Amino acid sequence: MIKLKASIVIHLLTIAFISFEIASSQTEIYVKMPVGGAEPLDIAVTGFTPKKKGFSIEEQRLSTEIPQIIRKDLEFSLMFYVAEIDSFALSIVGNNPLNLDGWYKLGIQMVLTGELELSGDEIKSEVSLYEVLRGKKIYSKTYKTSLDNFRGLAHTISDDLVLELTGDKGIFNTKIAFISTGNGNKEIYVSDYDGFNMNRITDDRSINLSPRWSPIAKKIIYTSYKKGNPDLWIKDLQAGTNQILSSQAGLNSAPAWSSEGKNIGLTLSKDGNPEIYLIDQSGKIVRRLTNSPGIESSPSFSPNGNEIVFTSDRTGSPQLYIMDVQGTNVRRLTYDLNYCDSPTWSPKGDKIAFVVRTPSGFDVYTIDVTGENLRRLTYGYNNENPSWSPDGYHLVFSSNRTGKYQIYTMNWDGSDQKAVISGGESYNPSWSPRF
Amino acid sequence: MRSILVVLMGVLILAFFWGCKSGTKIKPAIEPSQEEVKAAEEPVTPPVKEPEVQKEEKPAEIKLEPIYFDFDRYFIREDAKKSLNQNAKILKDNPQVKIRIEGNCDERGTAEYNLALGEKRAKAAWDYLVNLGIDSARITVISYGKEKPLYPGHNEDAWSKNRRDDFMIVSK
Repeated sequence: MIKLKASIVIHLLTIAFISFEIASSQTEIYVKMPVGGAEPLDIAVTGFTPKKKGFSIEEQRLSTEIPQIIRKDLEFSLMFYVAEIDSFALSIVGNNPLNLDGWYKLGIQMVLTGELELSGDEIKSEVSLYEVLRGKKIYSKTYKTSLDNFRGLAHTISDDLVLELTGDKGIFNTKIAFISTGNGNKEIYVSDYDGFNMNRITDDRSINLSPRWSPIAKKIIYTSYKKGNPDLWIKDLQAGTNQILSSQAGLNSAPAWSSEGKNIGLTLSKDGNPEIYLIDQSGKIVRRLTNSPGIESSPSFSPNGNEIVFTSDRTGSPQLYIMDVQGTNVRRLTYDLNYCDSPTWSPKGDKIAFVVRTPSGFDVYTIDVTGENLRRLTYGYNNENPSWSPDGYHLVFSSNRTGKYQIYTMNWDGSDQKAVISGGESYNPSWSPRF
Repeated sequence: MRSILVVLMGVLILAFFWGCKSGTKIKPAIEPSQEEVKAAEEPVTPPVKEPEVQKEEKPAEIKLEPIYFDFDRYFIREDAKKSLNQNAKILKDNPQVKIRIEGNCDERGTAEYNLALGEKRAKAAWDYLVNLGIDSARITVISYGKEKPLYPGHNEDAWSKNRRDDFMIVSK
């Protein structure tokens, strides 16, 4: 029974089912990330048209839903203004998605069109991207996948489009791992970045917390009381295995992968006090990094792997500090805030997101690694456990703003906060790398 | 009314023994035994006469008091010292008893920091008892952070009771 579940999970997490061939391609950078002032690109994603004559009912549904998922992805990326194809737009463009003159009149710079065909259980789709001004086809690609993976197909089209236009792959096939209490226990779940395709991946019937994706593999480390003690476990989603990585006496908590995915920083209390250690992937201690009479916890590595941000109450309340990976050159990062924890270093390297206790509860903040530009991103209730998207432009976090803890995403500046997982009590999210 | 109370006490005492015996296994998210410990405190030490209980082995009087903490703190408060001194006396009188100190936190703050905080709270009580001469080998500690709140409320009343060390008897 458990085996069966595991195989379903692997199936859902494998995006390699999509095969594609590139008809034409070039590497010209059309749009830069919006942070830093670049303007988003105006793009239209048209409804898909039949490859042969006429659509079946199922093809009709897919021809509407797939472009809609792509539009949502592109909007989420912050790199595009996605045109609404309403009656006004249609009155200008008409029924021909390749009416580039019409798109030009609407101020559209790029148009993505697609053809679609469903044969048996296989979706085949050819998409093309046109630059409106020059009337030029930038690329076209043919994709094949199974019917039940139509969301994955849409996300892959979005990923490729973003790669083509920016030089960086999109984040639309990433996943979010989180803790939820659906079956009465605190188990780990995984969903797509947009909250769809949610699956429970543990059946530990215990208390699980702090899931953290490996930056390079489909592996999640987490703390679990499955054997009584808060041990560190590792779940390999590809192999379907689940084993103890660190079971020192006392805490094996607050884990973080090193940026290259080789070592793990975590809190151990085996010597009588919660201190930060570095362990390797066999659980062996590489070195102890902190030494103070107080609480040392919650490490997060800089993307270049040289430094670690962490929480310490050495001055009487939890504050953030940065040290190098040898445990030396410690400097304090936060002042004038009365409780800081859950620091997480942005994949872009310049910012750290963390949680602050405020008069109204707990809120997510960011601060530059220089200690400047403290920015509050949430207001009211409890907003906790921020985790960066791999492109560094979004955060996933948990909030009880509706009375129950649910999983939300927001942009790096706090805009566009929306629930992606609702139902049950869900918290402790971790955003996966690109696979 | 009085007889209902007597029966109730019997049930609670039985439940307490069960809780102690099951001390080594993972407990459900809502842990009932602490309530029972508290309830059992109210009648003074010589317990209610309950023939069924007395048929069983009878190390009845061993009950250890929980101690409470301030928000985000792990120092032992004055009121907690009184409870710890009492617990130490019981442990000295019953040298065969081994205990596990369980550190808990209220729901506020992060899961990770609260795990460390619960560990410090449990360790603070461990230090105190060992300083009073209790053999350290008789005491283990564990932190449940904010993962197992005994009181479900979202107010200071519940929080103050959830910032707590429990003293679970694991063998006697």
